[in-house]
This record gives sequence, C-alpha cells and structure tokens, in this order.
Amino acid sequence: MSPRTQPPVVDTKPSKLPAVSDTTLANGLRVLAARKPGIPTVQVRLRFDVAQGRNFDDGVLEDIVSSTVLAGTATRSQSDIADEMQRIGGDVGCVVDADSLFLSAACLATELPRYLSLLVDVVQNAEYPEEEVALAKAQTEQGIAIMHSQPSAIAQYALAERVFPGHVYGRPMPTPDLVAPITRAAVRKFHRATTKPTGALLTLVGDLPPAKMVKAAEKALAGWMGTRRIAKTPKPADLTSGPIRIVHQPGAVQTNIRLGGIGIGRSHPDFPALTIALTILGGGFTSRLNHNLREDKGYTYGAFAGVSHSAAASSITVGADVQTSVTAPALVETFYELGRMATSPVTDDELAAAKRYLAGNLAMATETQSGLSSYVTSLAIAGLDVSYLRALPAAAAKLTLDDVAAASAQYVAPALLAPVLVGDADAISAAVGRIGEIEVVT
Amino acid sequence: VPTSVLAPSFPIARHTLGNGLKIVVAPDRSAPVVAVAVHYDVGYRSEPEGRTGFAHLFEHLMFEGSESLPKLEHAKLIQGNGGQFNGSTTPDFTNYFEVVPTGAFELMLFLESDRMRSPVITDHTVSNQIDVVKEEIRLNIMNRPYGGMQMIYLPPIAFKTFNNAHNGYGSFVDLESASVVDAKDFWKRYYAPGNALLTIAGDVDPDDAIALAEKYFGDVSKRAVPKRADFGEPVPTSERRDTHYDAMSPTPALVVGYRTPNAITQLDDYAAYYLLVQILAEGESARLYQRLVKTGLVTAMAGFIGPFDNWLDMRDPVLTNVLAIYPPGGDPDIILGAIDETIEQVQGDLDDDELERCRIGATSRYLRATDSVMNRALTIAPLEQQRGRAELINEIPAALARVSVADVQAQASQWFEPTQRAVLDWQPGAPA
Repeated sequence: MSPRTQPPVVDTKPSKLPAVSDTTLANGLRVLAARKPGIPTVQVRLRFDVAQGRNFDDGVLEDIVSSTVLAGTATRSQSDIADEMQRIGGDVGCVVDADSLFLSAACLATELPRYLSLLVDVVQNAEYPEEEVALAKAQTEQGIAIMHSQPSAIAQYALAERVFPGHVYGRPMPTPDLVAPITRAAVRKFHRATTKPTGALLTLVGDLPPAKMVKAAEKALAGWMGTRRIAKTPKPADLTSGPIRIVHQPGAVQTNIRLGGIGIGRSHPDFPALTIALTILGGGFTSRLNHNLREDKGYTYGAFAGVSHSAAASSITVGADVQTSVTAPALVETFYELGRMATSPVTDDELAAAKRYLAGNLAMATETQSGLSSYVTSLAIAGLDVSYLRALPAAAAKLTLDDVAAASAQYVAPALLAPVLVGDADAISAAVGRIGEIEVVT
Repeated sequence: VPTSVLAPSFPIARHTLGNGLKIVVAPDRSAPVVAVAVHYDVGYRSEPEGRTGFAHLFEHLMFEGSESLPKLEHAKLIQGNGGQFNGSTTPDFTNYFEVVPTGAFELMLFLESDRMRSPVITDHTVSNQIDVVKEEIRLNIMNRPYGGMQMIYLPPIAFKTFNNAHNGYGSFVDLESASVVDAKDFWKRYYAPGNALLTIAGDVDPDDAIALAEKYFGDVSKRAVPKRADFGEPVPTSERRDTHYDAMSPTPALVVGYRTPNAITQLDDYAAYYLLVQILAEGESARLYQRLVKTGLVTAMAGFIGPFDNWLDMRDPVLTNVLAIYPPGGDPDIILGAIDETIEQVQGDLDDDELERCRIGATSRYLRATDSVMNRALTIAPLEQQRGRAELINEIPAALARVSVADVQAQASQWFEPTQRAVLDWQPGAPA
C-alpha cells in the first residue's frame, strides 16, 4: 500500500446572493423579504426590541412571556392557535431575552397570508389567560430546578455572570422562588409594551416573490398600529481581572472549562481577523484546541472557541468539558493554546484553511430557507445586509499572518479572558490552585 | 380529505459497482454544494456480547487516518476546503458524511474511498478514541439529568435479546478492552464495499458523479458481505417495568415504550402509525400534551419513534418513546392511566379534520427537513439501504395522505395495549 495522489480542488463560484427587498410599512414595521426556492415553505422571523423598561430581575418574567405568548388571544384559545398552526404547516417558537422578543416560524408558502393573520392576532391580542400563566409558572419552576442540575446551563450562566457582572447580560441563573411573585398583569404589560410595530423587524424568506410576501404582510398587518420609544441596552463595562472561579458541583464526573471575554461586533474592522483567529484556535474539528485536548490527549469530546453577538456587546467563549481528573492539565493546555495564539504567528497553511473554512461555512449556512432567514435577520439587527456574506470572506481573504497575530494579541490573550470551571471543587481545587489563584462559589 | 399533496420531486439515479458498492445520486444544481454520505449496513445492534459500544468506537476510529491520509488529515481536507463533516452510529447503520463546495466534491470521494479501502488503526488511536468516547458518554449521559432515558435505559426493559437490549454507547469495561485486532476484524467483517451505500446529493451531474465514484471506489477489493441478522422479537404480552435512579435528576420521569408495525415491510401501516404518534404527541394541540401537560399532571412531555426520533432510519423492532417529566410525589400509574385513556379516545373519537391538520404539519416538517442537501442525503440513504427505494423520499408525503381515520384507529388498537408496553420509572436520587 502506498499513499495515493489526491485530486485537486477546483474553485467554487459562490451562488448569487438573493435580492432582499427592504420595506417599511405604514405602521413602522420593517419588512425584509427574499426568494429562496427549493421547498414550498416560507420562514418567518419577527423581532421586537425589549430594551426599554428592562429590569435586571426580569429573566423569569421573560420566560413566562415566551412560554405563554401563544396561549390564547381574545378570539382564539391555546388549542385553536395550535390547531391552526398545524393546519397551515406552521411551527412557531418564541425566545425572549435581555434584548428582544423573537418569534421564529415557518409555514407552507400557500398559507402565508393566513399565517400572518394568526401571527398579528398573537402579537396584538395575546391574552395570557390566568390558568395558562399559572400552568407556565408551575412548569417554569420545575424547569429552573432541572436547569440547576444541568452542568452546561450552569456553566453558561456562570460565565455570563463573570464576564458581565451586574449587567443584564450577566444575570445569574434564576431560582425557583422568583416565579411565584410574577403576575398575569406584569406579563401582559411586558407584552403590550414590547410588541409594537414601529421599529420591529419582520423577515420573510421562502419560495415566493418578495413583492408578493410584502403585499401579504401589508394586507395582514394593516390594522396593527402602535409606537414606543426604543432605548438601547446599556454597554457593559470592561472585563475585570480576577481569580479562576470554580463553581462547586459535588461529585461531578466532568468539569466544564469556560473562558470568556468581550469581543467585537460584525461591523468592527478587526472582526474578520478575530473570526479567523478563533477559527484556528477553536473552530471546528481541526482547530488547535480540539487537536490538542481531544485528538492528542483524549481529555474531552470536543473543545471550541467562538464569538456570539448581543445588541450591546459581543462575547468570546472558549471551552471544553473534560474528565474531572484531568481538569488542571486541560486548563494548562487551554492557556497554552491561547498564549500561543497571542504570542506567535499561525502558519500559512492554517491561515489559508481558515479562510476557506469561513467562506464555505457561510455558503452552507445560507443554503436553506431557514439558514438564510436567520442570517438576513441577524445582519439587519447589526445594521448590515446580505452583501456582508460576500464582504466578510473577501475581507478575510486579504488578511496576513500579522493581522491574525494582532487580533489574537488584542482579543484572545490568556490575560484577557476570565476562567470559570464548573466541577467538583473538592477534587480539582488543589491542582487548579497551582495554576493560579482560585475562588470557589456554590 | 386531502385535497393536495405537497411532495418533493428529487430525481434519483443509481448504480452498483463491481465490488458491490451501491451508489445513489440525487442531483440538485440550485446551489454550489454537494453532500456525500457513506452508510455501512452495521449499527450497534450487531455488536457481540462483551463488545458493547464497539460500532460507535469504530466510527471514531474511521476519522483517525487511512492509507493515504495521516491522522487528522481527513478532517483538515474537508474543513480546509470550506466543508463540514460528521458521522453517527445508530441501531442499524453507521454513517459518515460531509458537505462541501462543489469544487471539493471529487476530493470527498477520494477521502471516503481511502478509508473504505484501508483505514489505519493503531494502539494510539484506539486508546485515544476510547478516552474521547468516554468523555462523550460522560457529557451526554452521566453528567446530564435525564441522560440516556430512551436510548440507554428503556431498551433493556422493552427487549429480551442482547442485540436490542444493550447499551449502544457501551460499558466502560467493554470499551477499555477494545483492541486494534478487534477493530481490524470488525472492519473486515462489516465494512466490505458490498455492505455500504454511497449517497451523493447536490450540485453534480449524475453520470459524472457515478463515473467519479467508479474511479475512486472501483478498486476497493470485493469482500464477502455479512448475512444480515434478523433482530425481530415478539411483542410483549404483559407489561414490563423497571425503575432507574438518577442522582442528577431533580424530579421523577416516566418513559413508555411501544412497539410499531414493521417499518420496512408494512410501510402503509407504519405511515398510519406515524400519524397516530403525531396526533398523540406532536405540538401543543396533541392529545397527550392536552391530557398530560395542560392538566398539570406532567410538566413536560415528548413522543417520537426511534431512539433518536428517526422513524425512517430503522428496521424492526422499533420503539416509540413517550417521555414525561412530572412533579415530585406524582404517581406514574396515574400518568399511565391518562395515557391509556387518551389512546382509547383516539380509538373511539377521531375525525378527518384532526388527521388532516396533523398530516399537513407532518408534511411541512418533512419538507423542511429535506431543504439542505446534507439532510436530504441522510434521508435518502436509509430508504435505499433498508428498503431499496431512494425514491421514497418523494413518496412519503403521498403515503401519509393515503392514511384514513380508520387506519389510525386500527394502529391505536393494535400497538398500545398496557400489556404490550415497557415502562421505565425514572426516580431522582439513589435506591433506598
């Protein structure tokens, strides 16, 4: 047996970007629409900014809103809505977070007008019936109890709390006792204050001409009016340095290692270089972290690094879930890889591969109606449009080794990231304490 | 009454190479991406006793190098050309798949053929991947509340034979005893080209794709194809029940397993059964959601066919899983009674309207699940490998539309008797 010759890879011409129509309706709702043929469905995204009136303690209220928004209107019961949704091939989910109330849905293309009528009834007239709120509260209480036994959820909250202390992005994991005081009146008030068309964003991506989708929206939403003042989420403070935080989980068989920092948004001139740096460090299977911690050492099922965006800040997260007994050596290797990024240049091959990985991933992510609608929406929120799907890989293609080294030094140096470990403090503190100062929280 | 059936119309081409490798191509030139999948007709149901988890461990080893590619090179060549990849091990098959920009398609055939022909398995890769798999199990099962309910803990209650009952992730003892020799034997026995299916979906010309497949896979040596075992087991005639204690779960739960019609030979019945499960458990208008969740009897529930919600991916026997998490102090028998009542109500009271909206909902989800070329390839492959009919991808919506109320009610009568079920009583804490 001898190695065989690999076939060459031919350049792939990216598919044409879809034309996105951008209209603001008379009621102030911005509507983005794009045709994406393939399957006879339409993806619908509707986003409201909830920045105004946000309270630090509103996390549980937001959960109740998201789980009961579809629980009935003045004219439709919960099961009427669910039945009708099914009949038009629809699915809808609602997420409420510190920034927004976000409805994400799909339906058969032929049923778009009916679907939009249903949607506008929900956003205008959601009733939050007393018994539905009571049921949601009971479910949320149990859901919170379960969340407190999920290491991955604990790690997510603990890291956010460490990176954004005192800010809405850094709310601690809610406790069940926060549920009882929530009233139907407060839930309705939150909804009414939030779901006004002015300043909201509707995205429609599917197998219909954009003009037809916009017309359907105009018709279905004509009677929906209302404005509100939009306040921006406050910008979080800079990251403070501090000890390695250990969140004690007695008897845990794994430690969730997380390091968090404050990143930059998609429009920032350094963003292409940061994206490439994070790809090399922890994007995908072939990244340095995964190579080291998984494929060389067998410490973890997977190690990763990435950036995510909220309205007022972007976060960098580096992490791996490792066997308890190798927590300290795994943390050492993580610091090593971060330090190597921040102090030595990457290789030409790594840079070239990361550029192609980025371009390919964007192409895959926008290949489906669902993927394209999510991108159209999140780019619009960031003040960008679909041309960014070409501009980002084009900007990345021009990056040099020095550019990536500079971004690594500026954003992912070990000194710039806060470590949080969720695991058995009794088993890991001694060894981790030899790496740096620790603090144990429960 | 169904007025129209929305269905995809993906063209299908097929070919079989001299060494027995089957090829299916579903061209779609609308976007410059191609998905490639190789399904080997061996899953964790084929593992022998003492080797639990081996099929899955072997899946990991297939990424660790082959004749022309050192460890990690396979992954680098996919991701470094803008692609994504993964693999999975299920009861009946193990698959490997990637999606890439069109220009890297030929390279994907090279990669898959290289490891089909000659994977390189060493002491290092075996011991390294045993460690990785153990972390995967800690992550997904041991360090997670309610981990492995229907995948690990229900089958040994529902089934009597080792093949159907055992833990497909494997015991740590079995995993740790795995060796290079075991891996080579496993490859030799199950990874013959005649036991595999190559599926290509996306931006290719079918004739070109088949010619390229011949170029890269044509010289993989023909080997004997293992005779496929029949894993059939009688349906229980009295309820089977056991209790599992999980220290990580804060509240109790219940998993109920029901058998299904033969997923391969009784496809029409199976389609009716599938719609019955939608009527019972899909979405907030579902019968069980209304009966269990809306009354506060349970706090969360789900119902689906197959351990991974993979109703079209398995041969008989298959389990439908009804999962419910309920408040502390709840009585599992009251929940079971409510499930029984709900089934009886379907038997006596179901109309065309409810069936129709469930069918439309199911069809819409099915269409959306085939939108990406990757998912399309992964949907087509078991239809071809297990049923010899990739074209079913276009025909499933019509099969659902043929189902009548009486068909659904017949399924409800045939498969959901309390005596036919397996019950996993899931309790927080440790046994008293």
